[in-house]
Amino acid sequence: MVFSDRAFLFLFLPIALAVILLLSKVKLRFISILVLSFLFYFYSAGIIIWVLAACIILSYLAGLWLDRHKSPWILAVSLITLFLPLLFYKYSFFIAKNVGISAESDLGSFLNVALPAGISFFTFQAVSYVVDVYRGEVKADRNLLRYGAYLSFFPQLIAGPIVRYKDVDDDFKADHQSPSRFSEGILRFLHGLMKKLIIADNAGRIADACFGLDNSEVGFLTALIGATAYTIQIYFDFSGYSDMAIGLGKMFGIRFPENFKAPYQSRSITEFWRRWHVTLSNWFRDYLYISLGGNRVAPWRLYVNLMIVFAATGIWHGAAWTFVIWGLYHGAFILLERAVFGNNARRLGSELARYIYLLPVVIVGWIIFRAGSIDQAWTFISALAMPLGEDAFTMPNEIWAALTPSAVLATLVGCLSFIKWTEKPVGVWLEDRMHLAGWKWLCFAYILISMVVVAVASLATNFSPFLYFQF
Amino acid sequence: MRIALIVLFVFWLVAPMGSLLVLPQNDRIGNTRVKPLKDVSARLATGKAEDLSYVSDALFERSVLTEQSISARNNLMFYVFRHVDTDDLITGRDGWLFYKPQFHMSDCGHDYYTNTLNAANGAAVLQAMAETVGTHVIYSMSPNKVRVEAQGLNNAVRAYSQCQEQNEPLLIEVFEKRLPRFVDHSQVMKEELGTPGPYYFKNNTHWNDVGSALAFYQIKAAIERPDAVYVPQPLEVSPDRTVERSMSTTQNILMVEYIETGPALNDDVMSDENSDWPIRFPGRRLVIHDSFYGFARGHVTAAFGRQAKILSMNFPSDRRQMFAEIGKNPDLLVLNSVERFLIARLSDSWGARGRFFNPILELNLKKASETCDFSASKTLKFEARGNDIDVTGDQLRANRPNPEIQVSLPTVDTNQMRCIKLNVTAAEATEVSFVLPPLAGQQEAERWEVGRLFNLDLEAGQNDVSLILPSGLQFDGFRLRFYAQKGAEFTRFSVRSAPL
Repeated sequence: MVFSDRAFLFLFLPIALAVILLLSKVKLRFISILVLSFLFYFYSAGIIIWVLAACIILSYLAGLWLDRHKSPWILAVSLITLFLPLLFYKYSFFIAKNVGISAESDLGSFLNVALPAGISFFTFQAVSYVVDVYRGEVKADRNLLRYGAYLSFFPQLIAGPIVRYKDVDDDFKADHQSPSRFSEGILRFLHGLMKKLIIADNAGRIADACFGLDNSEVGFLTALIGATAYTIQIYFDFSGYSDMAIGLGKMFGIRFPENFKAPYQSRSITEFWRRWHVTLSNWFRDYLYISLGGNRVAPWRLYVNLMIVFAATGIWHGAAWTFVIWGLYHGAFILLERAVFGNNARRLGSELARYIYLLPVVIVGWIIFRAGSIDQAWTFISALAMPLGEDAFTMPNEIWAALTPSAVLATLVGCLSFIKWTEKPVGVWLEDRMHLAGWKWLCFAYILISMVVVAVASLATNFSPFLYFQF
Repeated sequence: MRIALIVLFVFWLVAPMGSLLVLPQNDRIGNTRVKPLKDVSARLATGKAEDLSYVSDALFERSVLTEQSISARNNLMFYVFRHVDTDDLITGRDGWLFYKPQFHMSDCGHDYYTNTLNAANGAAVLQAMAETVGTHVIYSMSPNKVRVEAQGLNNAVRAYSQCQEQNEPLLIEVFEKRLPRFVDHSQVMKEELGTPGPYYFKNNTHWNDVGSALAFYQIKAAIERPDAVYVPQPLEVSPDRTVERSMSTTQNILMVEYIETGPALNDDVMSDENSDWPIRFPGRRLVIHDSFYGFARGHVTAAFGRQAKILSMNFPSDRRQMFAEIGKNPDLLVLNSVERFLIARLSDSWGARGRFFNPILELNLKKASETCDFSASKTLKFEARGNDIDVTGDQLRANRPNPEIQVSLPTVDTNQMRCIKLNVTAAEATEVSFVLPPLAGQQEAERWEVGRLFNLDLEAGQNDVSLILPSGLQFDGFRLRFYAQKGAEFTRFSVRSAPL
């Protein structure tokens, strides 16, 4: 079940809102959140729901234990136990393939199982909780049901943001609901839906057509259109989902951290990673990078640590070499920026740097990320490097078919995200203006239009999954 | 204002479900029935996203809001963006709208030739067997719009139409060589024959008045002068008159109201009073067609004459009548299909292994039992095909599943209809295929080809079946294929032949 699916929007969500908001007692509220979240997950992952349940119980018990005994051994055992399902479901087949075990073999077919939706997200949340308890940054939650509600809270369960316990525990323990927060949530939720249904899905249609081609059919223009469309799709899809999660959280009285801060407005890769999937970057910074020594190591060791972090970031996104290469590719640019600019890499150059450096680097990165194979990635990158080559501007019919007026228009609108026109992400910017006298009617109008557009798009179209489900 | 916003949002969330409670529910969207609401609890219990999706589809499809949403989206695409690309339709150059299933995407494979041959041979067997009971069968094909109005193709449409372009020449070649009385309406819809196009509406899958008239003159000629080469006479398109038609395609599929102006013919061409218009054919006629003869059905029913019964595939009430009407032994049976369904229909209901054949076979068996005289019949020689079956006197024993034997016919009889009597005792009820050699009018056909057969049921015990084989067989023999397991035994087997 995804947020843009009509089953969620017009069946599950009204019931969830009614149940949770009508229950006045906080205790009953988090119990109902837990039940509804498991129901939500049941329709997202099926019988593999036990993985989530096991993750909750294990991390809860580990938290209690570590609260009393700050033992590194208990921590190590807890982390290994928590990572095991992720390792099995997400990476075991990849590892097996790389040591020559075929999918047809008994072992191969045993390992080649469906990935439980959102396993990377809730595993990372559970790990952050256990480590934070070990570090003494939070007290272990003694209420299993409340802790379960935190870890399984359906708005962020399967595609983030990666919410740390210390960021939301107060919201789970007390009632922070208000009409103001609820109406902000409505705006943010609908804004996310618009991003997903109108921009991401249309751009995705173009990207899918380009990346669905045979390598021999890919020329400069096709590669450029495909890479640009995917750049738009992945941002609006993923940040749209985060907006929806943040909006839903607010409706239920839970405030999630921002996950995207207009990343295409960055001027360096260093800055990009402070704006893109912020909660994941922070997780790797706090639980891997710092554990490896952080900045307080020799320069060569710092560079190695950074590459380890980015390799891990890459593989977190999927069990394929393209993801590893994508991570290392970004890591390499981070190293380069550090080597050249030191700690001031964030303030690299002028606005022009965005267009001549950041966007080309990011777009090429997305090619690696999206490609089905290293071969395909190389084909696209080679094609982009040859704008004057033979057939550079020839496009196969499949691409013409994908370039419908609505898809092209939506993608062009998406390209506005390359231009800096507000300091804040649009969703946050809109939320701020919701309470300003001169703007609130415009926000209200935007909400009304969004309701009509989302209802039409959702009721009139078929299922369209979010990209980040696979991670 | 915040409270108003929250109330509005809640109303928005519950509106689709609420509409199911307070407004009438749809039983179809456009021309498609909504998904049945069945096994709801079982589906919800599986926890599978597709099952939940099915239940929610079945629920929300019933909501008028869903219908309105689809219509709103498509109106936006159709009228504002001027470009439609749905599961079913795509806009090509200059606003030409094409129906995607006509592009044969799913048949873009090596088996298309075999499927086509199978369909054409099955139809030819039905034609030949119908002839034995006095029913003259004509198959007609309404071409896919894309074949006639290729000026509407652009690069985007070609992305879908490549299989159509690949398969189309193959289909035409096979049907022209294998199906003797086959009318391809695309042959008259060419500008060089003197009647200016277009022949289709831009926003419909159907012919306009010009296309309809051309098609009817062609089928009229095929009925009245089956052996003559038809040369279409140019029709006069009115220089100053046009006709307006509501487009069924946009209406039924997109739920978009659109009235298109199309060319009109001079008044007298398609008038019931036009002496040249009614089809002259003695006897009773039965026309079974899909929506392509629909326009004529209302406008020029008289073209087929008073003794015609015209049934549309598209009307469920007509479908129930079809088999009964065929069983009434009409003198002429016209089976018309649009190209995109032709292979599927002829391989299934409309060919010799489909439901349309059953009443014809019954008529054949009845006529054989009433008219065939086997008193001076000859027992036909037969032999096993390869090592399929052991033959000992009149005993047969299968060496492999579905064994075949080949029965020789007297050479002198090949141009006449003949009576055949099959005697066989089967241990179990089974089915036997009569695999026929090339039929009259078939060109360059292999002696044994896929699809040129019809089936008979054999009962457990003694069977004594008389039937009439068509005339014009191009080889002095036929095959019998028993659908039986290896080791199956048949006794008291004999095949006799007598002149009709």
